[in-house]
Amino acid sequence: MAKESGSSKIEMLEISNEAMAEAQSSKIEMLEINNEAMAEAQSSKTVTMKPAEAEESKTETQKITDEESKNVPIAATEEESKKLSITKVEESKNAATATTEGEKEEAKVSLKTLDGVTFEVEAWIAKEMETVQAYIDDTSADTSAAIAIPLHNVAGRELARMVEYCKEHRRASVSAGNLKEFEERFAAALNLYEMKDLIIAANYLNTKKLLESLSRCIAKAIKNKSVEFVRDYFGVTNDYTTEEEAQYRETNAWAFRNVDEDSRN
Amino acid sequence: MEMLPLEICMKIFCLLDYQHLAVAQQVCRKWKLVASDNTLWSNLFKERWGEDHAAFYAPMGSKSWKDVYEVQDRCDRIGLGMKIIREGIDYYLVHQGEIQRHLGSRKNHEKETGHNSHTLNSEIDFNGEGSLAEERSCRGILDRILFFIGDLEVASAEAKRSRVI
Repeated sequence: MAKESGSSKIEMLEISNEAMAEAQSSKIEMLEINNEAMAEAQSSKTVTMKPAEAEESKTETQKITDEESKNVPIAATEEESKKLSITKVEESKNAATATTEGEKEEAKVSLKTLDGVTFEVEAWIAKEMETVQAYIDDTSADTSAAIAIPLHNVAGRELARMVEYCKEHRRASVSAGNLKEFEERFAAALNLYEMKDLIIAANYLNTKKLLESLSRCIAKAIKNKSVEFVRDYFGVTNDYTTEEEAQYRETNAWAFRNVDEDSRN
Repeated sequence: MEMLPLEICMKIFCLLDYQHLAVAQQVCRKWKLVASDNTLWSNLFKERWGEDHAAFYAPMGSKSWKDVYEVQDRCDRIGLGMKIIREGIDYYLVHQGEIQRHLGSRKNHEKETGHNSHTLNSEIDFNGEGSLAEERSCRGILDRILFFIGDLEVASAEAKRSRVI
């Protein structure tokens, strides 16, 4: 296991170097590792790399967002640390960075929803959905690239919203103010019933941040609402008898000390 | 419409205060169970009155945290003394936040007066000799006095609270 992870780290480092469009002259061993990495990359892809695709990948590299451009200093540090002796801390940092870069370049997860729509999402978004991540961990790494993961309980509209939330949440999480503003904007765009459908989907996929955010929104929505409204909204059947209902209403009357008798009914 | 799973309901209930939990309890039987959860109410109690208070007033026997919260809320509203109060349409004799006696109901009283019914709902013991009509008349007067005192307490509670602040 340790050896495999070590070799995968080395491969990731090489891939990240290629992704950063940095060419290096190296020793015979480095050349051999390069060849092995290239061979594996080509074998894992259906289409062989062509000069046109290489140019496309470079073009994509140039479209790096602000967050990704922040990784450039880390990469520079990575290069310097390579020349010097690499400490454990920096090694783990570089490995994490390499993993992120590698996943962005190669690993995309296919998700097939209840109504037959297939979504291609980044691996880090799939990681947010713990149910999906558990599924990926259970299957082998080779087959997960080819097979779309079926999501039997999630509709395409909800999944699109969840993916959008994860992307913008990550972008907005740079500062607390932006994050709060984003969450308010996201919630304002949904009506109550869409919010309810989305929280059911988030619960199934175990997307924790979205789940907490939506719980807060729904709690805010049902505050100061009547019992009848809450029943309709949540689709709950009233299984109280008339006498029981009247009894419980009176039993809980202590909580409505400032509410008029007429307006409460 | 699809019903929300219970774990989501519990997440949402954690964010509600006691009034909204009281509404939730009236929605259906299952919600009554979930919204009566001791963890929810003990958290509300600690939030409002502090950990030390919660440790001191922790419920014993068959009591629940909701009961303890209710009693403490009444203490805040009307103090520790013996008082007649109204909650909803019912009148109670209360001492140290605990209900000692149910005194009557405005609704039943209006029915009695309106329909000239012979059924008497007041729980006041009346030891007196006389005709049935005379008894009913006296009880009506007593109910009016008691209800007036209860209404007076409700009306003045807000003024008392603002004075304390």
